Amino acid sequence: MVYTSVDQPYAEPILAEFERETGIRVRAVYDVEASKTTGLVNRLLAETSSPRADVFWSSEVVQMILLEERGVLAVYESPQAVDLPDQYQDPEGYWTGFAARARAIIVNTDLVPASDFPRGLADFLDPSRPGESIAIAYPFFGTTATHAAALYALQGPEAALGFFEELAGRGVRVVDGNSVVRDLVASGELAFGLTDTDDACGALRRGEPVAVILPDQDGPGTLVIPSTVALIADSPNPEQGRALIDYLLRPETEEALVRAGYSHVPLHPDTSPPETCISSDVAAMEVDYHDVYDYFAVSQEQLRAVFLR
Amino acid sequence: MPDASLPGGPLGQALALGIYLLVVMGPLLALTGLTVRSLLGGQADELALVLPTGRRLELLANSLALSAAVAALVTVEGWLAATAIWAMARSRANALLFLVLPLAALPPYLYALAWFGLVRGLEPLLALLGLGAPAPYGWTGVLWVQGAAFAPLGLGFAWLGLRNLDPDLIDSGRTARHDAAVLARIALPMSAPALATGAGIVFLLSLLDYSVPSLFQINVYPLEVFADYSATNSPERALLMTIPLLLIAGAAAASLLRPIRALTTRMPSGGRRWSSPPHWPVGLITLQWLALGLLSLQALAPLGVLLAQSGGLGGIGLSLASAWGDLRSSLWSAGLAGAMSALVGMGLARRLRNETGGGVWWLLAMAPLAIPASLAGLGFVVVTAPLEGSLRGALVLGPALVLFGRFVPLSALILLAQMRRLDPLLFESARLSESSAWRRAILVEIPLLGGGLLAAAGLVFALSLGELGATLLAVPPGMGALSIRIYNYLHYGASETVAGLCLVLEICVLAAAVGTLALAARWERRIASGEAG
Amino acid sequence: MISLHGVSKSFGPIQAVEAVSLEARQGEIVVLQGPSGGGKSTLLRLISGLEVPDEGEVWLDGRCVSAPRGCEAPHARGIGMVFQRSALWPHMTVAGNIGFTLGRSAPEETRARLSELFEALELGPLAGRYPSQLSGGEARRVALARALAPRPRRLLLDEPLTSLDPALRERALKAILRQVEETEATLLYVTHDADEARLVGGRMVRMDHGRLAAG
Repeated sequence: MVYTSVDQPYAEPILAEFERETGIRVRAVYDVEASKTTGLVNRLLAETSSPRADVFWSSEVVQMILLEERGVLAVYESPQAVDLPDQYQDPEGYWTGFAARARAIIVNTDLVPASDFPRGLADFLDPSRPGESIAIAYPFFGTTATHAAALYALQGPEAALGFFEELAGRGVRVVDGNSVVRDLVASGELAFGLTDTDDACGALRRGEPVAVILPDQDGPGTLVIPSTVALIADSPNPEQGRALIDYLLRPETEEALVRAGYSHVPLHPDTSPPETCISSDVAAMEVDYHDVYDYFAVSQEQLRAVFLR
Repeated sequence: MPDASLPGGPLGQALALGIYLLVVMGPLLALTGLTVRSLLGGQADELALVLPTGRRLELLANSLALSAAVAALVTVEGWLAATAIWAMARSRANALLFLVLPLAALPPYLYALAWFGLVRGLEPLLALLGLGAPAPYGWTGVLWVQGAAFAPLGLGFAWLGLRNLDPDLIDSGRTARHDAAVLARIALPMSAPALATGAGIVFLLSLLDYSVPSLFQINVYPLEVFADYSATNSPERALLMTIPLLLIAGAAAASLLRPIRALTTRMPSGGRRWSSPPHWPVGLITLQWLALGLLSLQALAPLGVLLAQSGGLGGIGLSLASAWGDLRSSLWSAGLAGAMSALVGMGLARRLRNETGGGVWWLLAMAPLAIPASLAGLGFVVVTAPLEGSLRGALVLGPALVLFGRFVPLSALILLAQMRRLDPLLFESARLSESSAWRRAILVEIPLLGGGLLAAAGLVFALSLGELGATLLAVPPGMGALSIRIYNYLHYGASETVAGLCLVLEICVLAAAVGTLALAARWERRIASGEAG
Repeated sequence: MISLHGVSKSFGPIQAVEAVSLEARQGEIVVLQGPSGGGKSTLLRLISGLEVPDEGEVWLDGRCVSAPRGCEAPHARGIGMVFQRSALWPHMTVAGNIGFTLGRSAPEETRARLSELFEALELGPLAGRYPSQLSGGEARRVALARALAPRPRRLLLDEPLTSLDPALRERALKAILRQVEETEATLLYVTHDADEARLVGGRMVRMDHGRLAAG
């Protein structure tokens, strides 16, 4: 059994293909972004004493570290992970990152000329750009929450909080999710917003009048968020779980996720570069994901006070 | 106290009560147990979360303001539309009611989709007229969407209130005062229990929902609760923070007991409405037609927008093919929830009608209305987490059980109203001639209540199909649900697929609601003619 | 004056009133007598505007108020009506039920009129009670007081003395007839009781199977 917070349209074909190739029957539980409860993570926590899932395949990394801290995961170092960069793997072998996405700025090209495209997070504070024409997702859920915690880790809590306070003070729109940012920019209601590469590139692929920009490529870089996969401790079917993890970590699987449009930052050195939605040479923010995790709780508490009123 | 007229005997009834409490209250009790353990284990300072202060108090005020506004709007709209329908010829009135009332079962996110589509579609036309399009987000959007989603409830309860009026009471007023005065001084006060019930239920549904307000960037208290939950992964904190909501929702549900009792006590008038057309003032007629127009727009907009976006029959077919397994699972869970709700609702309704045990049974029956869906789902996860081995196979029943727990109060109310309409002698005479409670139930009660059972099962089935909050957490591995797939594709951005799946959902919900209402009405007519014979 | 010209009304397959023509002058008392189900109540409802005729017309004081094409509002016809059932509004007290028919009268006028009716129909102790607290006879008297209160030009009374004991019946009837005389109201009185019909006096009209009997 696999719990996955990767979008069902992306995860389902991969799991079906695994079933076909190996004959191992897969029962999957999918999460829903709009539920806001990180339901799968809490299911896993509730089931710690009697695990039901064998594998957790997450769309991001902080919640995976939470599970590691709470003793939900088992150590498994897949042979398929040997050529994956160390910075995207847990040093103790509890989880492995692959098929990454990156935080991206989606811009409406009808409203913003190419010469005026935002290039980094500082542009979100630019007084010449009206705040009400810019959007971010609620920084309490999903990758936006992770990004917020990463800024806390990178810049320090004071500077990061200051950034978000200024965003709020400017009247930047705070919406219900990355997909809402995408839809608002694509429809022309907003000039640009912060989202993930899969959302932004998906809009581009559908022919929307948008451009996708990785922020701060000449500076600290953008946050790269790997998908992560881990074996559940004391799971009912550990052998089959390991087989699934090996399958997911293959370069071919990462390539499939890139072709499907989910990942735009493949981590296997051998994976073919994605279609030209973004440059293949991504300047990634240099953060330790465990540091990001450490700042998660404080960033959440402070940002709720800023944005939920 | 066992009821001798119910099957099962004292032991059976106690077992049934135990199972009911376990399914309905178990999740909340499990969470409470976890929380108490946590508080006693050194987290006592978290008790402060129970009292919202500062920013959280503002969010709670937002929630209350939104819910009250939605309840008021829906009640006024429903009342005006119902008074207009009340004066229509029966065939037209029935057609309108059949068009609108089943929409009560559609989930609010369908209306949100339709709203965005409507605003985008109207923009060019409004621009031509020199008008700006309404802001799709903010209070306008959330009031429209929640208002549209709950409007069928407002209409339904207003209609119930008017339908239950004794026509002689209306006629005796008409000879003395203007029809408008009769409406204001006689019909409206006498419909008050129905209107209060409808307003109360809408208030509760709006209060406990965060998904629609957050879509429109309206920050409400439940969003704070789940943002905290997302950050801390602590169900104990979530429960403590939800307590103010539970208390308010509980108070609202308790305040509904009296009007609900009054509503289910009244006999319906049997259909004679205005024997001669009413003479309404022009102002009232204008308002009535505005309400009807608004209701029609709210009802038709989701259908229209979804049809436009779905890619036609081919697109709908593709969407259906991609989600066939999830649809099958949803139909199974919803069907089981409907059947269980109808049968258990019958037992509950008997207790409520007999009024044994004072208000306790009313509280037990109505309590699920006050519990947020995701809290119920979370409690379910906590309760079932320790299950091992073969017991885990029973988890396929999980969604059905959670849905049953959420919607059984509605079944009980429908069946109670049904029971009050029937001559109690029909049941009493069965008791005299048949000693077995089971045989009485199967041979007499179920046939007599068949219409109500169908209506109750159908309503719960329809509501269950689109439910997301509790289903999400109760669905076991390998089993999907249509509502989950719709939300996933919504995030993914496949608008054509989403529209197609939403249409499939809408068709299933409407078919269930209309089908069971029609069957129930037919059953009732057969029983009535049988009685006359 | 009340005039009916060939008025007919059916409810589905049931012909409740068939081709009825009737005239009652202002101030006249007409007693409608006949068996139950004969159409008497329906006739009163047609005159009051609570039913629309399928055929024929109803005229009041020289103007057509009811025809198949349309109807004047019931409240505009100056009618006080007692129904077969008392039909008291459960959310209003006795005083409230009677006061409702006085509309926008000045408070002193309302009080005075209520006082008069309470005395005539012995309703004084019941003023603050709700209909659920009344006996059948008490409710009937309240319904009668409600119809009499605005001093209407036309009184349509459908078995108004049902449930009253003989002594109260006599007093109530006296109150009705006194008001009819004082206001020169037209009274259409429905009863199936021949003795009561005689007591009421006036012109006797028999109605059965929806038709007026000849003579």
